[in-house]
Amino acid sequence: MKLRPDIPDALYKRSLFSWVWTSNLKLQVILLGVIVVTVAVRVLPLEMQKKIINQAIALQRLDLLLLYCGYYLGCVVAASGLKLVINALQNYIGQQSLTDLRKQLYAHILTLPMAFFRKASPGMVVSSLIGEVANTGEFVGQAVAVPVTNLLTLLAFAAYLFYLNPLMALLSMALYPIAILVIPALQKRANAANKQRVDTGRKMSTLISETISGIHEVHGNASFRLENRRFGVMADKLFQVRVVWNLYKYAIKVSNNFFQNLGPFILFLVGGYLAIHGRFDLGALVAFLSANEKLYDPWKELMDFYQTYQDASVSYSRIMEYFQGDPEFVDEPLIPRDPLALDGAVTAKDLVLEVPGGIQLLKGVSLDVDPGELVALVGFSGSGKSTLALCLCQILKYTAGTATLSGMDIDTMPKSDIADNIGIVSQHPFIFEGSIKDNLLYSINARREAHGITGENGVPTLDEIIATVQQVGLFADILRFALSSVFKEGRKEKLVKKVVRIREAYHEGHAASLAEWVEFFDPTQYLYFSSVAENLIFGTPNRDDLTPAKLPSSPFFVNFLHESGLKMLLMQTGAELATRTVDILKDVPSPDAMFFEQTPIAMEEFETYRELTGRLTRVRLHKLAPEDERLLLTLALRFTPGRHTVVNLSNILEGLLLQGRAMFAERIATDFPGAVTFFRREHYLYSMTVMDNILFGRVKTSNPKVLDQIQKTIVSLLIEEDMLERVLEIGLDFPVGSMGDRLSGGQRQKVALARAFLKEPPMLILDEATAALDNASQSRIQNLLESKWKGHSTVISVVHRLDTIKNYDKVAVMKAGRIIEAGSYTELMGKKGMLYELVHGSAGGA
Amino acid sequence: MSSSMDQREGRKPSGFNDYLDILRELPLFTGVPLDVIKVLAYLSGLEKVPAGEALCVQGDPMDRCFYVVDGSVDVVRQMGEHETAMLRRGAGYFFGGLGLLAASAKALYTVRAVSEVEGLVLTKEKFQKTAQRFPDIQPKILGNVVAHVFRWEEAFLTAHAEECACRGGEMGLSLF
Repeated sequence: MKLRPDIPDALYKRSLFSWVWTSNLKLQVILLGVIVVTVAVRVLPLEMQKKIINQAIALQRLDLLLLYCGYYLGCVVAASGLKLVINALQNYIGQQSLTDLRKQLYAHILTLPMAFFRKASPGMVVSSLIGEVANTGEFVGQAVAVPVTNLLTLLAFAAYLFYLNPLMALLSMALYPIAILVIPALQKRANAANKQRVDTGRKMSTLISETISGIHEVHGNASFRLENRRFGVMADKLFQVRVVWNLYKYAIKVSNNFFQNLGPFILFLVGGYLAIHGRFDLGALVAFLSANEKLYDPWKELMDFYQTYQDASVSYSRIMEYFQGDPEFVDEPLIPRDPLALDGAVTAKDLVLEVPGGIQLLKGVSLDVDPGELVALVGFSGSGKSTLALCLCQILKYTAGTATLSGMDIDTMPKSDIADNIGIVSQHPFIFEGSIKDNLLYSINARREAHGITGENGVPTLDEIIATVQQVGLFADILRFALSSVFKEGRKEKLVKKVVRIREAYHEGHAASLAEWVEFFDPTQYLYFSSVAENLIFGTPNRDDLTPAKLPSSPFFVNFLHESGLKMLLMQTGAELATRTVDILKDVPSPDAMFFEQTPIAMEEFETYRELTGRLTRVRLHKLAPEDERLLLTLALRFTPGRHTVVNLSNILEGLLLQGRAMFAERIATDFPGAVTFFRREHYLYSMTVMDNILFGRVKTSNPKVLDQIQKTIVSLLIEEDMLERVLEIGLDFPVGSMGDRLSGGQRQKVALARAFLKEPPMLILDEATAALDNASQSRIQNLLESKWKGHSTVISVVHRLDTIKNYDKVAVMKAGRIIEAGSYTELMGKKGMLYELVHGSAGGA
Repeated sequence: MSSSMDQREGRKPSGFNDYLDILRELPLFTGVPLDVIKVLAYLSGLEKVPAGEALCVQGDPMDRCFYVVDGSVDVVRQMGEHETAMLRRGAGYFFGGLGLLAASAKALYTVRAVSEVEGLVLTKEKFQKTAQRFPDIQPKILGNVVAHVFRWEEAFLTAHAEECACRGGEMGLSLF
């Protein structure tokens, strides 16, 4: 007989129990050993009790009493310790299996076909992997330990009790099966009542939401009585249902207690009768009583375990059913070999893609592409052009016909070969959290990881990355990221000096033309694009308590605000900022960071300020608690009128703040000389971004044209100072945010293009890869394809703009899943067929 | 040095409340609850465009809508080398609203500042993030767009009855 059952390869075909077999069997065996010892240790105290009463107490032997009590204590301590060991082992085994299941399931999900992801929601995948699998882990941990422990305990107790007195043993055991019959029956009824409660609750919810939605009608007809009656009927029904439901719940509780307490009654009655007649000794009776109490726990644990098993098997089968499916392609070659180098030749013959329901997205497409050809797929939406492109790179699987890459069947090629040889850029490329650089190297790093390449092997040099970044037009964006970074004091000293030099050059050449767009750090002017704190301090603090974050709690600074007459005004401003922001954002479901760009409240502080605004309606400003004062000052000190438009900066406050700036400088000079390095043209400002430093001021506009212009002049100065490369390197480390949400649509597409280009694959598939780009960037990419890639790599491009395809080697026009015509642009235009119609149609319609 | 915060002219919008008033009156947002318009107004900002600069360029993605607060703009259409002026509009002109709704709509016109223009800007990203959080507003806005298309076509048909008859294939936007 084979001990270990066959475990199928496909994850979703595995049974729940198979995870017990693949769990840490060594630990399971150790666990079994511990359990056996534990059970023995659990029975021993019963015998000790008997001996204490029958021998020590009855014979009045103190030495025996101490001895047996000692044993008893030892057993209790050992049993507790062992129980802890069992729990620890069972937890470890369970969590290990859970992790194993999670990893395998994740790996399996990633390989599932595209069709699965079209219907699956990310939320469902998340909840399966995070929440639902937990039940399975718990079950695997308990699968051996709990039933064995409790069954053995029951058996051991039973055996011991039979050894003492078979009749009494039978009686005390008999109660439990009765309880097992009665309680589940009650439970069943309670469940039914609960279902009724939920149903009635739901009906009531519908009624309430209907009435609230139709409140206009209710008020219009003053139908309050009518509505109250309708609601009243429902509420009474719910009342009845809930009473019944609760009664069943209490009945279960009471019967549980009843059966537990009934045990001693029978034992006393029968045991007492037997003892009176001398057929049973007192010690044995006590042993029975305490065994009776202890028997309850194993029963209960077994029942709980059954519940765990039920839960686990339900959620396990639900997960496995949900994630049922096999990968459409092999992941890697069966026999390990070096990666293939393809030449980029593509053929498709009678390619068909049929989806469930018998719908054909491709209806027999044939296409031949020579290595290095630039091919455009054009056609109306829904014509199948994207589908065809995606079939050629294994994102979709065609259902009939043949397609080859360098003569090899695409259908049977391992995915790794495809990934090694094809670069894919989709219309809505995905950007992962991390830096720009991480994303640019994503494709390359994926291949390096797959081939086990470590170190710097295969990673493009900085020059290569910059060259590609420039080719796709991402250069200016990356520069902008770099310019908005803040250098820490004491680091990048060389750069800092250069920045100051650039500042001088910039001001000589461009200051006048910038006046409209930049707010210079002028000590006599209020700065609307700097915070209140920056306006007051007007320098870089050298003391920890004067840094922006700590200012509101610095006694020195708060005292200064008080004496300069600013404190109450600032608190009032803080209160307005908080109230306004909370009023606007309170009903926005899960607002992300973007919603907090125009308020001084940070995303994670929103709840705190929401509560504070509640207090502000009840408590006057001067009576606020010190912590609330600090919160309000924090906001006021961050207030930047140029960005935070929810509140206006009053003329009075502006004037006072300007005076405050001068007072603060005096105060620092007398109290803490040197505590602040005031802004001066010859210093680097460590609290400011590189851009602020170069401009010695802040840009006031979000107008992209103006920003571009400013940046262009900065670039030429950076080149003069020979620091462009270094600055770009800083920009490449810019964190793109979760799912790249700090990048615009165009930037994301450029990152995706650069990511594919950096890989230098023999074949590129571009699926409307320039749709989100502006005209200039689009033509830049077009030129790049025609100059750099044409003849070098095969490019298959799904194109929506027909003015870009004139220089393509081949144009294939698709309609309703078929290629209607294919050939060179001039050839097809000369033929005045479908392409001609498309070009002229689109020109006329656009 | 004057700044965008300058309030001497009194009637120029300078903050949230003014933005809110502007957005509330836009036909695109008819029927959108005040709480949502508040969020949109909060996410909007003023922007200055120097005379001669384009507010949006024909063929470039429409990634923001623009309400002219001050100054005037020309709407032009490039055809090959030529440029045809279509409209001139001043304060109160709003464009780009339709672009907020589509994933990758590209401008059909160039809108250029004749004098220095100041305007209220709401970017597509900000609009869409808000719309995702308040899905109920989407059908309302769609309804407004559809109503606009019908109104426009009816006015056009009334004004150009004969021409319409000859341009058969290109008419009937509302039949879409």
